[in-house]
Amino acid sequence: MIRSAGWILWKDITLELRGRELLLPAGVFGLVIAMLYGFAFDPSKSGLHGMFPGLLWLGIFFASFLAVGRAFSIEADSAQQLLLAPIDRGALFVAKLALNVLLTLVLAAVMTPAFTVLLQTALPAEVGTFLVIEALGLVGFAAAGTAMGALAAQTRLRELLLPVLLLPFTSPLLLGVVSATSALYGPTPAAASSWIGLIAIFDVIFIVVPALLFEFLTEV
Amino acid sequence: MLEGRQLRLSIGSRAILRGIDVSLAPGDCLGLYGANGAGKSTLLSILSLQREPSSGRLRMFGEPARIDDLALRRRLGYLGHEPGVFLGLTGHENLVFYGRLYRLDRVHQRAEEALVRVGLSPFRHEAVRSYSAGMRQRLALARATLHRPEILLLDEPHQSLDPAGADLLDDEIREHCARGGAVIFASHEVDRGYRLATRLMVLRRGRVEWQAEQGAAGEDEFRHALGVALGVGAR
Repeated sequence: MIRSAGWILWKDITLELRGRELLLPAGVFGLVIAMLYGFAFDPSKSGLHGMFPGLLWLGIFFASFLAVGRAFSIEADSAQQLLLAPIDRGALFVAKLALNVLLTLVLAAVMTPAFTVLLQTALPAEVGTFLVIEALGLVGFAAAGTAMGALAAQTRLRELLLPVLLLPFTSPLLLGVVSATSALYGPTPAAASSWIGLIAIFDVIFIVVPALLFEFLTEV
Repeated sequence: MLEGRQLRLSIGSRAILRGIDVSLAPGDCLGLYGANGAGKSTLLSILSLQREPSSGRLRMFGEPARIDDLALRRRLGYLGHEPGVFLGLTGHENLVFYGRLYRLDRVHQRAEEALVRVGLSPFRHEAVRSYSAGMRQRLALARATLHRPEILLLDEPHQSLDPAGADLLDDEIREHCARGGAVIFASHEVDRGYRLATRLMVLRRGRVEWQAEQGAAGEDEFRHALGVALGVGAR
């Protein structure tokens, strides 16, 4: 299964490197969000400091919608042939999950510095912990997005359906990552550890449950 | 090789297939005809293990056919309405990718041979985005036969092909049957299909309206049956 997943991932990365159909629009959208936040909120006001984690994560989640939501639609007419190949459907899930994790990580790597510059807020002192929170949050979001993307790809209203499904589904994760990041900016950064544990639990649930249901999700 | 009995499929309250019997023996080339919505593509989707019938029995190679049987999938080749090729990859990369998924040995060599066979060798390192519709269909044919399946299922395979490409496809089908494989194809190409098929089947509203061995039925009889199924004069 892993070998098949590797080949599907190789194909997706090759297509993305040549077409730039996923990252480029999502990255531009992410930067536009950062600029709009910069215009809408006065970065010189001290209150913005407390809002920074929420603004950053909402920006990353919104931009990631564009990339994650299209991970299945890039198959377009080829999906039928891919599903007819003698491969475990789990290989498709693993490949799309890996692609979505990569995409969201690249987006976060671009958007996080942009947000710190445009909102004039430095990264917290515990940069390592902050990166762990980002990585765990993005893995969870990518896993949920992969499952919902598979479900939405079966429908005519996939562009509309994905945010409707994914936003409520990932709201506990959003609460976790924003709270964990806020803790790093607060007086007791150690408080982030309990939130990190919660995010890790979300990640496990978002990976295991869709992996078990993926066969069903691609047949609905 | 393949035996379907009383295959039925309903979506909601709408019956798409209403009890179809179909069989394929080695060397058979079955041509499926009928109006749009007669059930040709739906029947092919069941026989290619894309979906389960609502009822009925399907056996392949002497065993009950299950859609999650990966070993059985390796023995089938399917070419659908759409070529289903990746536009951002080259022709060679498309075949190598599928060859990897089918775990073929000598995958690069097989891809090269397949590209030569369908006449795309000079374009093998060009992105498929630059291919014409007919070239994409040729590539899809190469992909469908790359793993040397025993049963080929082709849904309107002549679509988009120029006469040379259609002749090439017909030769491929004849060679496949001569090697002991079986083919079932859905088509609207009456003349070409009549010459190609060893057996003809006309569907109408999910039922078999008419069928005959190619030698046993004259072309006029086939055209008449098809005309009745289409509700118009035979083309």
